[in-house]
Formats: sequence, C-alpha cells, structure tokens
Amino acid sequence: MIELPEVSDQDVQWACKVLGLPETAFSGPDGADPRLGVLRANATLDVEACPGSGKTTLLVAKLAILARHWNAAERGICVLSHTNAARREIEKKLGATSEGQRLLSYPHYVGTIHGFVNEYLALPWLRSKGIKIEAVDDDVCLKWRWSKLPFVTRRALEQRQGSLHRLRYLNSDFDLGAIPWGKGGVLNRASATYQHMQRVCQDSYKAGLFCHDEMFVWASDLLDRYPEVTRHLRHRFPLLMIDEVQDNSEVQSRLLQRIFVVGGHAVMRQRFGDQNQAIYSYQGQDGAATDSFPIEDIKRTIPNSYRFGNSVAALADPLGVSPHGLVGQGGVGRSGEPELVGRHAIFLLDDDSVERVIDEYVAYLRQEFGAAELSSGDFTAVGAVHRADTDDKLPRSIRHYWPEYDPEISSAEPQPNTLLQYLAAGRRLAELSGETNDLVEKLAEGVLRLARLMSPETAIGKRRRNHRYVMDLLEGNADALETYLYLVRAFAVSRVFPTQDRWEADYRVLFESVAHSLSASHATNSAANGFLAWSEIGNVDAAKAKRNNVLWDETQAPAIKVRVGSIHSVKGETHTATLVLETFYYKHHLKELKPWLLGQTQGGNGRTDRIKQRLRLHYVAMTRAARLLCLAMRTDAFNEAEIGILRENGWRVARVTQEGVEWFE
Amino acid sequence: MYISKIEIENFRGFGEGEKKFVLPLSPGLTALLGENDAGKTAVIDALRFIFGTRDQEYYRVQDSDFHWPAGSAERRNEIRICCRLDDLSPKEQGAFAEFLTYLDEGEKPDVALYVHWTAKDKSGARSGRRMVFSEVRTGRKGDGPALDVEARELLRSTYLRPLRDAERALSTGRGSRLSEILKSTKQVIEVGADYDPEANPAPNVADLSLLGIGDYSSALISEHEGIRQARQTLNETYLKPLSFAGDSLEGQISVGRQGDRDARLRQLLERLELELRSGATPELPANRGLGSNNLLFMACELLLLNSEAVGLPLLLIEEPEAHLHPQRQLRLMQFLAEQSSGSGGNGQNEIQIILTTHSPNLASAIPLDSLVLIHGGKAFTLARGHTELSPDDYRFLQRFLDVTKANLFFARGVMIVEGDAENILLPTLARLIGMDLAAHGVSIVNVGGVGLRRFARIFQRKDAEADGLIKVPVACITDMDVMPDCAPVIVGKTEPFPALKDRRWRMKSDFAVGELDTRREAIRAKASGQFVETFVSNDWTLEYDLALHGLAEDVWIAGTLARQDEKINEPDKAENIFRATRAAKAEFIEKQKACGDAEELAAHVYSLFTNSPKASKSIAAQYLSEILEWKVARGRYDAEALARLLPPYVTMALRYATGGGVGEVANGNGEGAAAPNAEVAGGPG
Repeated sequence: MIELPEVSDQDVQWACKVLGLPETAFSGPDGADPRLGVLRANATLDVEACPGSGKTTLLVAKLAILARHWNAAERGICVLSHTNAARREIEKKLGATSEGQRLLSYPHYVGTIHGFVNEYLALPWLRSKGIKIEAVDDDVCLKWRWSKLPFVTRRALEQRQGSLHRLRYLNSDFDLGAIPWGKGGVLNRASATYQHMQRVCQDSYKAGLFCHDEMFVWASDLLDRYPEVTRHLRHRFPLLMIDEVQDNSEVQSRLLQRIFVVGGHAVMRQRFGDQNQAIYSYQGQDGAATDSFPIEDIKRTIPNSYRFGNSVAALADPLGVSPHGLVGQGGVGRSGEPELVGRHAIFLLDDDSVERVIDEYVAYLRQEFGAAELSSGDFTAVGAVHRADTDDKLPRSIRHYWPEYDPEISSAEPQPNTLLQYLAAGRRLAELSGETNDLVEKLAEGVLRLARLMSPETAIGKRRRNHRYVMDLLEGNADALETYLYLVRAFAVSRVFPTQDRWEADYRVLFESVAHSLSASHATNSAANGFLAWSEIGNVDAAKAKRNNVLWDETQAPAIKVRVGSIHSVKGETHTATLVLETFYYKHHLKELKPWLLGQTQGGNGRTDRIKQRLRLHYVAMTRAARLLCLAMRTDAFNEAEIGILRENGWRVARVTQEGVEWFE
Repeated sequence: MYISKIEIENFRGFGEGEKKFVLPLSPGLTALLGENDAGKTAVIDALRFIFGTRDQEYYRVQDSDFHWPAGSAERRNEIRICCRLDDLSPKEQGAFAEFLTYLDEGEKPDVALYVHWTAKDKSGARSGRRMVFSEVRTGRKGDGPALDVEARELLRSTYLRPLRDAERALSTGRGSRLSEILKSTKQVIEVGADYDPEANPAPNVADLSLLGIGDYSSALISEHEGIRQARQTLNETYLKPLSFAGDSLEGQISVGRQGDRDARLRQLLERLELELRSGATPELPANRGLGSNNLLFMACELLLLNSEAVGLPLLLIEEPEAHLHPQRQLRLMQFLAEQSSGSGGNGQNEIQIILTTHSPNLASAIPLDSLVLIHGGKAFTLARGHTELSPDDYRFLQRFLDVTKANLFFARGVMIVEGDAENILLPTLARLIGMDLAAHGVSIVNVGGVGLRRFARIFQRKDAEADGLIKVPVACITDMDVMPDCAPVIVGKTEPFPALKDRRWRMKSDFAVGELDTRREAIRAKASGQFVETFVSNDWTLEYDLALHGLAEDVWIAGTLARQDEKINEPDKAENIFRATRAAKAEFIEKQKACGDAEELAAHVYSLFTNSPKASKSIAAQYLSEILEWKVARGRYDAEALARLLPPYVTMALRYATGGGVGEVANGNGEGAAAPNAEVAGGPG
C-alpha cells in the first residue's frame, strides 16, 4: 500500500482551473460536497455516483492532482474502464498540461480492462510462447476458424443451428465447453466434430488469431504458470482506479481481483460507478458476483446531479435498482433558461401512429425550446432494442419508429457489413472530429477486411493503426501502393461521394486490386461480392435527411437534428432532451415498468434479473436528459385512471394520431 | 538486472546472419580486448545506441555505421542490435511488466527483458533525402511493444569516453557534470529545511538544506550594509534623476539566483567544483593531473550510478588506462571489480561494467573469465564453460598470466615457448629468415617450463560450432626429449643404464619402430586443434636440434662462450670474445674429426649445456643470436640458406605464427597435420 500525497486546497483550486470548472465544483458552495472527500481520500474506497454527477470529471481531477505530485519513475497509476472515455477526457481536458501528458504515458496505464489484460499479461505471454499475434478480433478469428473446418463439420454444425460462434475456447487446453447438440443433447467431446472444432481453435492460436475474451484465458494461464506476476504488477501499479465499475463482468472482476487484491499486499483501489446504471453490451450477460460493487463499508455516495433538475430526478429516481435519492442541481438552460418543470411528456402510440412519434417529438421540441437551444442542443431518441426480426407486437425496435434506421452504424465502434458502410462510418467520425484520420483508418480497416474475405486462409491481422499497416504490407508493391493512396485521397481527403455507376465501374475494381495484393495469390474476388455491393452513403437532399441515424428536420428554421440510437450507445452522455422509445424483448419494456412510472413502487430489490435489467436500462435512458424527458409508449398500456396518476406525478400525456397529437388536459 | 547477451548485426564491421556479432555476458565486469579496429568500440557504441547515455548526448547514426560487406556492391540498410537483460528484481519486473518475455526454459519460471534497436536507412526509397529511422522494441523476436521513452530512460547507461576531458567535467559552469551528479544525490535534495525569509529568529544554518543555505546567504548578502548603501546611492543619486515621474527606475543588487527551487539549486551547484588533494599534504595546491582527474571523474559517475534502485546500472568505459600509470591502473581495476561484484560501496544494485582496453597491464589484472577477445568481427568470451580451459586452468592462469604474458590477448599470432632460450632466439631467427615477428604482430609467451597447454587452451573454444574459431594462429613449441643412442654416455649417464621405468630420460633405442611417431603425435595432440598447433622438436631439444641440422659450429661456439661468460665480461670484452671464439672453433674442429656421425657431434655440442661447467641456455641463446646476426650481416648466410640450416619444426612454427599456415612439409615426421583418413571404407563383412 502506498501513501498518496496530501491533497491541499490549492490542488483542488488548480484542478478546477485546468478543467475549466467553477471553483466550488468539487467542494460545493458550503464546502460540504461529497466530491471533496473523494478527492482527498487516501484509502481504498467505492464511489457510487449518480447520473450527471461528473464522475469521470471527478476521476480526472483526482488523477491530475496525483500526477502533479507523482515522483516514482517506475511505478504508476492504473486507470481501468470499459471505454476510453477517461482517456479521452484526459486528452481533452489535460492534454496541454504536463500532468496530462505524464498520466497518458509510462509508467501509468489509462485504458480499457481488455487493453490492460492484453498489454500486461496476455500479449507478453503469447509472444513469449513464440506466437506472432496477428489479430485480436472476434470477427476475423471466428471466420478464419470456420473456414478451416472440414466441410462435413460445418454442415453438421449448421444442421443443428450451430455457427461459427461455437468456435470459442474457455481455457488454455482449448476446451470448448458443452456444445448443445440435437434436442437437448450435448456434443460428445470424443466425437470427430468436437475434435475438429478444437483443432481449428488450436490452429488459430498458432496462427496468432484470437477472440477478445480468449485473451483472458491466456492471462489466467500466465497467472497459473507465473503467480509472481501479480507481485510485480502490484509493485508497478500501487494505485488502481476503476471507472464504470458496475459494468465489470464476472470474468473481468475475477481476473482484476486476482491480479490486484487476492493474497497479501493488495493495492489501494478506488472504484467509481453506479450500480443503477449497470447495463451490458450483450443480452444475457450478467454482472460480476465476485467482488461486487459497491462495498457498503467503504462506500461514498454522490447523489447530486449537475445534469438535470429535480423534476427529472423525481421521475427517474424510482427506477434505480437501489435508489439513492437523486438530487437535481441542474436542469437550467445554458443561457439561464429556467427548468422545464411540468413539461416532461409521455407520447402514447398505436400500430398506425408509431412512425409519427419522432416527428411529433420534434414538433414538441420546437414548442418547448427557444431558437438558441434548438440549434445548439443535443436531441436524441433512444430505445433498448434497435434490431428486430419480426414485425408483430409493435413497436419492437427503433426501426419500427423509423424504418431507415440502420443499426449497423449506430454504435460508437460499428461493425459494418459492406465496404461502403465502413466509409460511411468513417465519414460520420470524421465529421464529428474534423480530422481525416478517422476516415482513413476506417477505409484501411475496410480494405483489410476485404482482403480477409477474399482469402480467409491468410492471417491478415488488425492493428491499432490500420493505415500504416496497409502501407507496410504494400511496401515494395509500388502499383498497389499508388492505387491505395489514390483511394485514400479520393475518399478521405477529397471526400468523394461515389455514384452507383462510378462505384461499380471504377472504385470497386480498384479496391479489389488493392485487396488482391494484400491477400494470398489464390484469393477469390467472388467471395467478397456482398461486401462490395452498392449501398447509398451519399447526401440525400430532402427536407428530412436521414443519414447516419441522425434525423434532420429542416422544415422550419432553425434546423434541428435528432440522434437516434440504442440506449447502450448513449451511455455516459448528456442530452438536451431525450425521447425514450418503447421496445420489446420478451415483453414491452416500459409497459412492464408501469408500477415504477406510476410511482407505485421503487427499487429493484427482490425482483427478477430481467426486471432489474429493464430498470437499469431505462434508468440510464431517463437520466440522460438535462432539460426535457419524453417517453413513447403504447396507448393500451394505461387506463384512464393511470393516465391521471401520471399527470399528477408531473408528466404531460398525449395521444399520437394520424392527424397530430391530442394532449390529455 | 544485467545484460546477459548482446547481438549486433550490420553494424560497422559486424555482418549479419552467420556473421553477426554475438556476445554472452556475465554480471559484473567484462573487459573487451583486441587489437585496433577489432570492433571493441563498435560494441560500446552499439550499447550507447540501444540504451542511450546519461550525459544525454544524442548520437546520429552515420552512413558508415551501416555494415559494408567485403565484396558487396552496397551497404546494408538495416542495423539490428539486441540485448537480453536477466535477473530482474521484482521492482524491475514491475517497471517493465508490459515488455517482459516469460521463459519457459528451466525448472524455475523466469523472465527476461529483450530490447531491440533497429535503424533503417530509407534514403533514396522515396526521395533523395537521407532518412534513417530508428526504433526500440521489446520481445524475444522484437515483436513486442515499443519501449516508451520514459521506460527507456530507466535503462540509460553511464558512458566514460576515452581521453575524456575530466577537468572540464569537474569544474564550475553551466551544465557541469558535477552539478548534475550532485543534483541527483538524495542527500543534497532531502537533508535540511528550506530557508524561510519570514522566520523569526533567523534560522540556524545547521538546520538548513543546501538550497536553504544558498538562499539564506543570498538574503544576507543583499542585506549587507555595504551592498545596501551602494544600492541606495545608485538609486537615489543616479537612477532617480533618470526616471520619468510616476515610473521610477530602481536598482537591486542580488546574488543573482532566481527562478524556482530547481533553477536556484542548479545555479548553486554549478558553482561548485571538485578538486583532488593528497591526504598527506592537504596544504599543497590541488592536483590537476589528467590521470588523477580521470579517477575523480569515474568516482563521481559511480556515486551517481549507485544511488538508483531501479534500472540498468551499466557503466561503459573506453580505455580506462588513459593517463594512468601502471600501478594506478591496477588499483582502478581492483576497485571496479569490487564495485561490480556488489561487495564495494553500498552495492544495493550490482553495477555491470563493460570496458575496452589495449593495456596488457589491465588485462592481466582482470579475472580471466571476465575477458572477451574481439577478433575478426566475432566475440570470444573467456568465461567458464566457453573455453577448453578447466577450472584448474583458470586458477593456474589467474596466478601466472602476468603483464608480460597478457600481450597475447592483443596479438595477431602467438608463439608459446617453454624457455628463455626460445624466447631470445626465435625473434632473431624469424627476422633473419624474413618472417619478422614484430612486423606480423606476433607475441611470444614464455611460460617458463610450466603450463604451455593451459595458455594454448585460452584460444580453444568449447563449442566451436556455435562460437566460431579464434583465428589467431597459436604455435606452441616444445621438445621431443629423445636423445640419440650415443648421447647418454656423452652427457654423463653411466652404464649400465637403469631400467626404462626407473629413468626419466629416453633414447631412440627405447622405442620400437613407429613408436617415436606415436610419441610425437601424442605430444602434438595435447595442445593442438582449432587454430592452436604444437610444433615438436625433431629429436631432443632446441639446442641439440639446431646443432644437428646445420648450426653445430655456431651452437658450439655460443655454448662455449656462455660457459666463459663471466670471464668474457671482464675488461677488454671484444678481445676476450675474439680469443675465446678462436679457441672454441679449434676445439670444434677437433670434435668434428673425432665424431663418427652428426648425431654424436650434436650430442657433444649439447653436452655443453648438461656437463659441468654447464653453459646457461639463455646466455648461449644471446651469443648465438649475435653470431647469426653477424654472419648474415657479413653475407655468410642469406635468409634462404639459413632457413635450410634450421630444424624444420622451427621454420614451420615461425611460418604458422606469422600467418603462413601449416605449410607443405608437414609437422615433424612429415605426417602430423596430414594424417590419412583412417576410416575404413569396407562393406559388410
């Protein structure tokens, strides 16, 4: 355990200044804010921070102060999270300071848990075993394994609803676990099929291809073989900070505990999170049972939100699985517009009016906000399910509200299905950042994927910098390099929107030729036909341009845009207004949460896991809005009495029809 | 943590693949020995490139750093340097956690850190500009992550250049090395309190930190009455009339230390200088000799090196012998050896020292297993297990490998001889027959009768397959020690001779047909192989063989003169020699007439050295040298004629040591080196 430096008042003031915050941001006007205690804390603790509490900012401030006093040249702080949000925040807010620069480099680590496990355990271990790592990527790896399976094995799997997703191993002996086979049966481990599946996994290991989660397998393998690794890692990182700890999976939690806590000499650990916001990327994934968060004895709660006012706090608080009594200290517009008390609305829809909901939401926004907020605000519509396979029980997914919605490009790091979608995703990122880099990287990623599709047997990896990687691979092949650079110039620098004709006639062939140079000699172009197929990514001139899942409304001035996406994709964000869309998974989500919305119950204690998960998802969704919160639900979810209760609780309620909205007054 | 292996490819004289430079290292001290241009400095420079040095000097990769293989049309364009570091402490394992390689080799799990430095010359690829890219990566094959700048900082080495300007480094001034060293000394920073100008009463100087004392004295100086008055006069008398109203100019007089703590401390330390005084006479002015200052400089660097707990305590020294007299060199070596074994100083982190030297003096003072010969672009460590030397050999050589013998490490060819006579005679014979030893860089090592083979084994590799061969021809010269049958009586053995097992001497009739050859081959084989070759006298000893082969008269005269050496050295030396020589010549003619054959005559010549009064072999060698030189000068012999008169094993040994190979006429009996292939080519019986 190490002694952290004493945090002085000057330190706190300095942190407020470099982060561009008011002087009382951490201390509160009366100096009693719990944030100050967290900044000063010099011990292991768990910080339960409500939505909008500025958790990441608090963490960054703490890190900045620590960096200011950090003396050790070879020991550092380990900051782990699930996204690179903390890292980006440090780059953005502290990038110009020497403290920020120091935090982002040796000896500190700031990044994702996966990144940490790879960098410090799995990759060194695999390299030591003589494995040349080509790619850590589920898609690349699983497709490679699938392509290596004997035809009969593939057939056998396909006939039993198995797929390439069965080709994952659980430990370093390449055990695949129990494979469901036939009706309620399990595939015999001694069978040829099982053996073939194991063999391709083994072969992919030798070829340097890995799925993300398999890196944990190798990390554990290293810890089994060299238990003292934990000792030197604990020496290297005497202080561990975890952000978004509620999202840790069981596997992650267990591994982190093994590395940093179990046995003697546990490191000092400070975890930041909110159990009410624990939502996972995959259905059915569950939180960590090991080392659960928070530990009551060392818990600090930050219940006051700077994001929204008390009107939103009151509506969202009951949905917290363990409500911490949200206190709203925000909700005011940027130019001092007053909190929109009593304007939060529920739109009721039926099968016929579902596609009108977002339009009516836009109209309502125009009604509630002034021109300044309309043009600068961040407006969203989010739903728990964004992809649905059937069209009954409307609305099942976001698509039912907006048919053009494309789930493939919605998340921050999408996995597009065509090369043009790669380019589209790159354009979206490039528009946000204003840098060509994102677009170039996406283009390079697409080209590498194309090469892999054309010859699945070659092990072409992925790199952090794909463009450089492509350039390296093409070195010595002047023609291909020339072609590639031409494409980069055309798409990334000149930002060409290809027409369908030009795409089919020119670009497609050029991409194919570059990919051909990257892949094995026996590459087959036809394998990638689907990937190269034409799809629209260009401008569509319409009053309501729908592109990149951003809905533009230019019918009136000022034009406003509404981002549409999944709840997962907006985690951690702050919106001016949020519309939470009803969606369906086993049941309609919001309808199932009716007792909470009506204020008849609160918290999730003793409820089923499915209900808890619904609560968390929609708690996250409802706590994004700084100013205005709206819900969209089916009309038949409520009877008249219940509508009365909703209105008493502070909701406005309207029915969406073909003609417009009818407010219940 | 220490460097356990260095591999260098395509750097200066070192090639790639088969021809790459590989050097395994042990913890502690390593000395690189070799002639000029062997590549000693290239090894040091490679380490400077890969780890950087603490003086923060930046080295550019030069065109000439890229290897240019002999006979190739162009330079190589990628330099690769790889070091493996072993024995990482838990702290160091933590510090380099993301760069480690896990070794699944032995029983005990272990880790190592591999550091790869590559420089690629990409000039001309895309433009005419000279572009050299270098990068530092980790992992066994260099496939690990790049080493962060900050992590690489932990590996910086300390480098002491040859003929360094120690005086400058130790004197005052901006960025002086001494100030840097003091600044990284813990006590300079941590002991004592800072000066607080508000403190009342005034601080006790003994409680202040170094910076505190500096600040306090600055404050006292600026408050001094004289200074105060001068300031007042300046301001009131001169500056005031020159000022505009409302914008008065005011002068301040101060010591001039401003800026933050760091800057003030640096300014303070830069004023310090280090000088050396003898403890016995402290009142004399400081010693400013180059050598002493060099010592002082090294001491400072060691002080700095010792103060760190993590990182690579690597000290690179080129030619530490510079400016030091021999005894001080020995003292220095002793000290460095102590420091590097962890027994000197506080020794918490054992220092690894790699030095180069040309000094036989230093080489003889360094443990044999710490030496590395650099020859022909290859490294040959003399560490245990890498040579054919046995543990007993190491003990023996540690005692007997003195300064006069240590020059064998720097030679292009070596002759190892067993006595003074050979030592004196061989260089003269070589010169007279046109194979000058000095011109060929050949050293003669006189082992004085013991350990001939032990010295030879220094040059024999345990694993020649992997290491390659030390291509320094080593010629050992030894006696056959078999006298002709007539000799025992002549040298005073009385008949009947004792049984074979009861006497140590041998004569030809003791051996059956072919047994002589077996004996010769056995002697040869004891110290031959790789580039070591033993040359055995054809019959008995050097003197006998010389006499037998054609120099009977010359050896007779030399032996006779040696017998009378004391008398000759009385006044009128030239006259004495003349007379003695004439008498000896007459005697020789008598002997020649009396003897039946050459063997008998030669045995009589040799009896000068065995029968009382015994002639000293080394004095005789001296006379013989003079006689032969005189005769060649007079044209009695030319080089070729003399060569024909010498026993074949002598000329062959000389030719071998001077790089002429084993030669057409094979060793001794004409078979040794060209032994027929004995393998039977028969089919199944």
